[in-house]
Amino acid sequence: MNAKAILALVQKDLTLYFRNRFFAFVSILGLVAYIAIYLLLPADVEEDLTFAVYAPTIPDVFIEFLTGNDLNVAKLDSQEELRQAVIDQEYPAGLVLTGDTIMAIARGDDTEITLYLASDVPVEYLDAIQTVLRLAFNEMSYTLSGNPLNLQINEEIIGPDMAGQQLAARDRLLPMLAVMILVIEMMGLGSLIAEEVSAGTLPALLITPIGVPGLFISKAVVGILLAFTQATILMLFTGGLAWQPILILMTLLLGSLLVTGLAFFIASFSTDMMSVMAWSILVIIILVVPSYGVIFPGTLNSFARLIPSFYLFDTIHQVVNFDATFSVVSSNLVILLIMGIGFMLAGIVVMERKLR
Amino acid sequence: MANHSIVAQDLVYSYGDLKAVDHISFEVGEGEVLGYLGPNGAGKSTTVKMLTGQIRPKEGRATLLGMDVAKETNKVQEHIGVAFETTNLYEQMTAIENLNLFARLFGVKADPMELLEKVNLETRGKERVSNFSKGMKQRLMIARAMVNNPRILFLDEPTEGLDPVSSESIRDLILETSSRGTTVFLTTHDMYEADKISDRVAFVNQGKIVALDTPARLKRQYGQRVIKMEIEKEDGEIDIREVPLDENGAADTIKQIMETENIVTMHTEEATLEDIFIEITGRGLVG
Ligand SMILES: Nc1ncnc2c1ncn2[C@@H]1O[C@H](COP(=O)(O)OP(=O)(O)O)[C@@H](O)[C@H]1O
Ligand SMILES: [Mg+2]
Repeated sequence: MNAKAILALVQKDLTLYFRNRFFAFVSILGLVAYIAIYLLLPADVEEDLTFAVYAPTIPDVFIEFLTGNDLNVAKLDSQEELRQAVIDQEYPAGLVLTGDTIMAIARGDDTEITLYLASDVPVEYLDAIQTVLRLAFNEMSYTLSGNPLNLQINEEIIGPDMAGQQLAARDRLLPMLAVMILVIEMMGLGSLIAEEVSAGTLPALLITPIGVPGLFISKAVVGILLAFTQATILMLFTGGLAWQPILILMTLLLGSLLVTGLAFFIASFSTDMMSVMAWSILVIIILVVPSYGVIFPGTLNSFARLIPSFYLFDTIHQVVNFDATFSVVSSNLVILLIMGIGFMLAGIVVMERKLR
Repeated sequence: MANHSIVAQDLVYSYGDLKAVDHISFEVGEGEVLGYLGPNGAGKSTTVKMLTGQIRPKEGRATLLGMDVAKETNKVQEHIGVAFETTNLYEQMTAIENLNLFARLFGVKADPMELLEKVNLETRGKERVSNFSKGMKQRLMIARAMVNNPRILFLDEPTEGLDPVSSESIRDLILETSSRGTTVFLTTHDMYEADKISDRVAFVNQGKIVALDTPARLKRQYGQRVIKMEIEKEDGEIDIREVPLDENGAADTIKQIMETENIVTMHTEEATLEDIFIEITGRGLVG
């Protein structure tokens, strides 16, 4: 096994890939179509950020204090109603203000309030709400008592994901487009491997010094290269690389590793291109399921976390749409890495047994 | 043993309960062409796979160029060329691309045009292999097997299913290669081919070598020369009579026929390798 031989095999596979009209066509068409879909979908955010308050004993004039530029306040009639509204995703956050709280604020005493939140509310939304609340209450306290207020905001997460609510349709779809691009490559690489078996070329390769490890390395390089390049092009054209390019590229790389691993796995029990297709479609449908969590927030349960692509969707979604930092998505990335390597090893083990 | 290119010692291979190769031993000298002749399922390809390090013998040892195949597989493979039983070329690549790929995998500099000339494909180098006829593909397989300038060439039924002209050109190629000092291990179930181009022939049946010698000696040892005569009978029908030449009294028998019968044609006939194969194993080479 040596680098030059691996390079020769990688070039060979890329040549074959693009000489296969089907894959060349699907790849390029897919890329163009996905970019077009993104650009054609509405770019505007449709909804304002509305914030629910239940404040039974407090005059409306206090509530108006809370209304900032980006924030609408909706008054609800009971604490129950407020909680339910947050759970039902009508509002991303809700706040109960009792008379005692208002009295404490008015006196300038240390005050604690509890914010009910939909789960997975993006960091900047949370920051925005907290800032608005602090400003408003501080101002209230200062006006009434002359003292600055020591306000502690507790967060209680009660509802499903509302984060998508503030996103343009196309941005909600972007993680799915990116994952689709990656996942389609699974078929391409799977077929390249399966054809090597069905055309009998594998034994011819294996009597050269490339050896089994070199062969697998070259296939992994081809798979990651094809998937990563296409996903990167998509992100480039859709502005997905504008904010945190390194984090996104890293995510795409790990995603490419995951689909390459899956391709190894699929190829290991497929005999030809047709069986790769059949298995791939089955796998693709499963892999796309977690995208519903982004497109239709709140429709997934924790079962989706068992599907490897969940971590890919979630990471791309959070990073591209909410500018999440490395520390926020690092656990996702680790899981992706482990799953990618896991599937690849499983595929290699099965294929090695088949080769013997 | 130093001048033996291939030494097989007690090789055994089984697929589950089926013993495909059953304690086979032989040696092939440097530059020699060994014809490995046997019917389908005799264990020829399995032997090739063990000798070339594609599968590991369950028992016994294969030594190529003084190196143990199981222990020094990679080193052995650098010095051998294998033309597989079924064509396994990259059909969507050109002949030249196929050859260049394997040259790079072996880490050698090879001139694809020179190789293509050897197999008479020099004008088709830039065509995709998918356009090639079976015979052309088979010749390209041999060219590919020679890309690393091997000292031993393994050819697994290279003329199987080819027309006579293509087969003949491949046989010429094998003879030419061997004349340049390359050892050739040729499996075939074509007795004519084995006879014509092998220095020695091994008869393989049911995983065992049942005879191994030069074609001439095999014929002398096992075969009978006969005189074959066509005799016209009184009613005009033709009768065929064979008289074994090496038997006592053959001369008298022939003399008697010549005096009493009307002979139309008469010629001596040598035993074919197939005749001998049948004599030894009780079965033919085809089917
Ligand atoms: N991969 C395999 N699995 C099971 N049996 C096999 C396999 N390959 C060959 N055989 C069997 O082993 C025997 C020898 O096969 P092979 O070496 O291919 O014979 P030949 O090349 O002389 O036709 C045959 O009976 C064949 O059916
Ligand atoms: Mg065979």
